[in-house]
Amino acid sequence: MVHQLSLVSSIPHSSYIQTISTLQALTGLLSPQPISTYTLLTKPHDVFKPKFEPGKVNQIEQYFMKAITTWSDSGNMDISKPILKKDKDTEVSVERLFTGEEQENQRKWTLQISDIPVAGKNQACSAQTIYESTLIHTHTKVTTETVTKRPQKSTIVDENAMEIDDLEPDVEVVKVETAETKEKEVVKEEKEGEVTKDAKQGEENKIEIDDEPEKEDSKASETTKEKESELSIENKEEAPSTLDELHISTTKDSFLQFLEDLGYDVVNQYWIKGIRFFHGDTVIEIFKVLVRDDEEESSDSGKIKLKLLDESNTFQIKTYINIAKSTDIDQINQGTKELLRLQEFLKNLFKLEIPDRMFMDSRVMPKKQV
Amino acid sequence: MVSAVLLIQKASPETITQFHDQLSNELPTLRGKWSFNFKIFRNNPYSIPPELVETATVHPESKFLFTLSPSYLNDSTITLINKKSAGVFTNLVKEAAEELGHPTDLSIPDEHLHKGATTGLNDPFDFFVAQKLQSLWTQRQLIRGDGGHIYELENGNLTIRTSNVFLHGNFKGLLVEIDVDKNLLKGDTVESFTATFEGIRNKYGIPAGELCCDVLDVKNLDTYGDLIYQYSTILNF
Repeated sequence: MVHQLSLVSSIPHSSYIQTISTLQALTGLLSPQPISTYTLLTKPHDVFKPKFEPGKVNQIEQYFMKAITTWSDSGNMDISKPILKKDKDTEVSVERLFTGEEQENQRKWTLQISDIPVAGKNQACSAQTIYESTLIHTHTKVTTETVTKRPQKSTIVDENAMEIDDLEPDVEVVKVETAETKEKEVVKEEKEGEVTKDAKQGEENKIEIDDEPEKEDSKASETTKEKESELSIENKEEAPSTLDELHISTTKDSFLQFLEDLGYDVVNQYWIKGIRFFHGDTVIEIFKVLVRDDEEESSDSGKIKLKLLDESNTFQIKTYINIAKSTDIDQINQGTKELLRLQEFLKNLFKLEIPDRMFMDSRVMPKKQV
Repeated sequence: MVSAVLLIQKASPETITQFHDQLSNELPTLRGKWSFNFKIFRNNPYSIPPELVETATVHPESKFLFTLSPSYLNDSTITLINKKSAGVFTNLVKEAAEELGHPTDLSIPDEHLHKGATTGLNDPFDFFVAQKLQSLWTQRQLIRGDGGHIYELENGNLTIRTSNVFLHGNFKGLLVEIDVDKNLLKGDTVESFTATFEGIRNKYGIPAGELCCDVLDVKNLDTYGDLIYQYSTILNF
């Protein structure tokens, strides 16, 4: 359990050098620590519908969950250089994951769920509790071959199947696949409104906040589209590959299977690249957020091309202090003071602000009745 | 390592002391004491698959999530969901584990912390589930193992762990966990595992009981996944 005190800001790309120099002078850290994370945003698969009893208030919430791991880009991305569209020199791409290779079993994932930040009018900084646990090893007995061999099991597997690993040894497979794809698309259309909301929430959770709601909406719907096209691409891709793999026993990726069994579906993904300074107990992170670029295919088919979420090349800044116990009032007060001191000190460089609490809410809201 | 778990439900103080005496005669290396917590979670019945939301009020099927935290695996929790997928969670970063003098074979690599994927302040997985996944999983049972001993035999190729099992404070039997090195096995099927472990049971005079040496996937053995699978089969009161 981490109690995190934080303030956020953003700077245009042009003030990057100045900011870095100032922070180097302030912290005495000449080479800041690089950060690069890859996050899967996941949402509970099932709908929580508690029994309604008069006089009883439901205290149980459903939460979005982040699954975070590290990533390294293929071409040594330099964050001090702006990333421009259609510029081959600054192209960022990443190796595909979940290709079924053995080493993927060794990838470590941190599962993280955050509470909504503490409410109140006189908050000096955002304070929220984060729960996390790190998965260092996964194993599953679900193999694609099991599906063909044991018909009783296949029904169970099918119900849970996240992707379309349906392996009927017939020629009809392709037809089955397309039918399923269509079904999925229909379901997706129904869910579209929800997904848009998800994507929006997700975006807001991870970074700080834009003040223009219109911009957010467009961004969110963009991400939704991306997600969809990505899914459909995956569907298409998987159809032929499953045919090839008919007689090969491929173990389903154990991490994805684990997430699915835990009850979570992946709804979105993003990559973060940046640097980090330390000032006393305070961590100062400066980073850019990247998302999958589906307009252009990467020249290498084993890689995914990325683009900036915010194409203006703006840097996001997050300063935070982690406190191990949320009950440690002394530490929290001291941490708050330190953050305020830093805010005052850096006020001419960038303005550190409290992120909007509502955008940091990671609870899954029940679908509104239309 | 391949494991098997044996539960002697009819164990009495006499049989337990007799068994410990007999093991001591084999001059084992004593590896200290251990204990464990085994938790059983059931899916929250009010979490309903989206396609059934309009028609059903409870989830049509029961699923189970097990967590096992043995004290000999420092700060780690093994988990098994639906008897299909297993995972090992740990809450110490390698550099912190080294500082504390804990074994580092199950720890988060330093890079994971340095690159920003974790805050370094991890919770045990059973706590995480109980706190934040209440809408999906609710805890049903807590089985505790106390007063356990670890014996190492045959030059470290065989480890026998014994522990008393308690459910709600009631004694439920003596649990014996047997770990053997892969090269002591006589084959690679479940039947041959049974034969091997029955042999060990006879050789060291382990009292008869419910023996489980089933594995999740015979072609692809997984030390921790198979271990918790056996616990979940045996500790089924």
